Amino acid sequence: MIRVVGTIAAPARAAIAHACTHCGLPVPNGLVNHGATQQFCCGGCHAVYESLYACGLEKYYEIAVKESRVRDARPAYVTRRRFAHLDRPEFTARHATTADASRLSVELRIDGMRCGACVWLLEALPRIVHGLIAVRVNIGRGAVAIDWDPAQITLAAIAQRCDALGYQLLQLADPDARGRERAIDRSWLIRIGVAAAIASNSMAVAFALYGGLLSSMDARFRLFFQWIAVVLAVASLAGPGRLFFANAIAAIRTRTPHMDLPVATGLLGAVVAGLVSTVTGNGSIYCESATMLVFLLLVGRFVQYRQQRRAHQEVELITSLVPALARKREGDGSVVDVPIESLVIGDIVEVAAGETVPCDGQLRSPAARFDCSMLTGESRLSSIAANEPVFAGTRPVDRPVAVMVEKAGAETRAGQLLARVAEASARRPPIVELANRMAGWFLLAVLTGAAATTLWWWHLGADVAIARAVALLVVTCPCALGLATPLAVVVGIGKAARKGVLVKGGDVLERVSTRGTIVLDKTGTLTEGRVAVTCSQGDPAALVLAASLECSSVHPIARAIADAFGAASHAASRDVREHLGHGIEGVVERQHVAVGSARLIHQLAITLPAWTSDAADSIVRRGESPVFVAVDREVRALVAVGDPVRAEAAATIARLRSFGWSLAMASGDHPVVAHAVGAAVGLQPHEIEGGCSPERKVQIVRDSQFAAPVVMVGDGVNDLAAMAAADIGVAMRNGAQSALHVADACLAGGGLTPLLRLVEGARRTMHAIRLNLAVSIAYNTAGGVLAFLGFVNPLVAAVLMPVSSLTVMAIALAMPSFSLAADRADQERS
Amino acid sequence: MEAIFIALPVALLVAGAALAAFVWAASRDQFDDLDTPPRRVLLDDEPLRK
Repeated sequence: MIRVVGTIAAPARAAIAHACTHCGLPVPNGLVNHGATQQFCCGGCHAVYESLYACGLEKYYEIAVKESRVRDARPAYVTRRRFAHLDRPEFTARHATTADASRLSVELRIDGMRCGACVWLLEALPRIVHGLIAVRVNIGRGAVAIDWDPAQITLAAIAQRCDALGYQLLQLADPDARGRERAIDRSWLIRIGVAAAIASNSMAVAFALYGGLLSSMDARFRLFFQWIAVVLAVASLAGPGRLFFANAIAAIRTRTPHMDLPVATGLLGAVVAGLVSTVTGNGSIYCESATMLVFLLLVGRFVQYRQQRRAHQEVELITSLVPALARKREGDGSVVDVPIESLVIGDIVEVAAGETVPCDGQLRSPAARFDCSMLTGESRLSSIAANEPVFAGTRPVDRPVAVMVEKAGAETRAGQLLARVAEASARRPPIVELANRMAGWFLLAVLTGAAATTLWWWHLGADVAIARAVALLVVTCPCALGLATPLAVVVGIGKAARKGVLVKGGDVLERVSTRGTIVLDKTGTLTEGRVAVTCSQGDPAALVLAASLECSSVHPIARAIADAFGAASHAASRDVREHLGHGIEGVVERQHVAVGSARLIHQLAITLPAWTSDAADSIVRRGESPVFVAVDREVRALVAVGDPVRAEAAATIARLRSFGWSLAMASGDHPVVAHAVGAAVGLQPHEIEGGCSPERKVQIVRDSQFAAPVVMVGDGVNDLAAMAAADIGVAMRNGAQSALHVADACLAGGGLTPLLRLVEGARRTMHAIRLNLAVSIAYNTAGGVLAFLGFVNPLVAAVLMPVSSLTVMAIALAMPSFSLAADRADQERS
Repeated sequence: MEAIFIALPVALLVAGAALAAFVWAASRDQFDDLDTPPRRVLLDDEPLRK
């Protein structure tokens, strides 16, 4: 009898009646404390709960309930570190500022924030911690500013208090760079604000002028308005618009074409023409459009700048991959926390089971099993023998180990991986948005058209010629052109977010405007990225006994078995013995129970019945691990443990194929496992590549990139470089934190299905943008020609001008950019 | 209509004052963090258990 994972796991999960008192996540069966009102999903949450009550801060839970709508449910994590490095004089000198002798200030990065209740909790700390003067949290930057009195408390003691509450204070990689970025952000804000103020005022003046042309405005008033419009336009160009001229001058100097060259020429042309006609007292001006264009172009530039800056920040990510602190064993046998920068070759560091190795080095303990999935994507645990190399970013699973340092920091494999990510991001050419490319040429064309109109009709008299030129200038206002892209993009991104796809910027949508290749990672993307029971056969009663026994172990396989079958089991187990790496035995309900690999069964001198050998072979062929359950020295059940394939993966891949996308899988896992999973989700063998190094993944992405866009979907650190090299990197929400930083888009919940919405939605959004640009250009051309022929007078033109903007808005809002693809996919699934 | 010769410069002066206030606020980090202060306002007064 073989049951698939859906039938086992679903009822087990539905039976979880206990939510963690602290974080609200379900409590694993193995940890349910029967009879207690408080339940905790992990030791971290329990510890934080206790410290909150000890400090009198339990108000936190009341606030957290109010904030539950925006709350990011995550278990609390308590490191119990000493944070001694925060008290070193060199740290204080570099990071802290001194207000006076009894007040030091520092800005630190903070991990573990979930919602507004966390803000309250942290900012309430000065009321109970003596010597802590003030705490200011900045949610947006994930930073916290701390003021404290060094005579009364040390920064390390403050960090320990925060740690006990589940927040880790980490030092900023480069405090000076942070300051510089803030200054640049501020200058952008001011620049855009000034440009917007000038543009709106000069629009108001311009409308007075348009109105006056028909009602024969007094020349005194007309000149007055014109002078004000010219002054405003000059101010806009000299102030916020200076940027374009600086770029254009640099382009002329270096003799390289730059899109600011036509922009600067057009802006200068419009303002100089306006100035000349104002000084000579006749003619019309076109200054308000120049100020409007400065504002719209600046907004586009700012968005672009923010995206480019992301590439530089990724280098700092090393802190999130590898712990900032290592536990170093001193000569006298004592263990101290030191920052990883101070490790030297030959130091011995200790790593507890489940913690992350901080450096590359040699294992100086007996053989242990390591989870290398973060670095390589391999789902199977790998055994590393004494004196063999271990890498930063891997985790020992079942026992604490000692590692002799060989490389630390940027020289480790994890560090080099990040360097490659930064390099790949920098190599990706910044995309010049369609509307930006067109804006400069558009302005030049309009000015040329206006000049041509004046000259062409000059023989009918100056007033007719000028009126027609003005009508042309007004009717071809670039507002619609400036609005077309941002509107469609904002609407597209908003719709995407509602459908579970978080997109980081407009250029992301533009990058995958045509159908290309989607490269998928396996572990955590096509599969759920965790160890779970995928199928079982044999005696169900034996499975329940096995689950009771496994409740006492923290090993991932034990947790998987306890989760799958433990819902009904309350039995306690006695005389539990764990055989490291092989399994566990003990007594449950007066029966001897052993759960483990074939090797454990042999060790215990239990015979394997014939029926298990074929079944175990087929489990191994699927790339999963067979686990035997023996009750009273007789094998009664067989469980397959592996990384379950996501339920929606096959359907999603079929849909993507029917949309016209090519698919590929690049997995760091063993080729056998990769092919087994690939076949299960409907990929052809030639589309599957197993055993890929992170470098090979980048190569696969680049190889498919020659003509069509490539989307890389992944979740782990081993996918980062490929995600950065691809046209769009897509991260799974539950993946590594660093993957979320590098990715251009993130699938928040709902597994893989939102991917359909992203790729099809992007195409539809680009379609909307093109349609918008076409409409506004067609409108402007038609309006321009009519104005040239004298069918449009300036006042009619001023009335018509918003019509094109409104049309563009209507198209952007009505385009079913994200909803249609999604709804269709939903329909076909149901 | 001659009032416009005074009214328009005055209007521009007012707009300029608003702009100056904006620049002043921006350069003093008033727009640096738009997420935390609105929450802080709501949360600050919660009394602690003694």
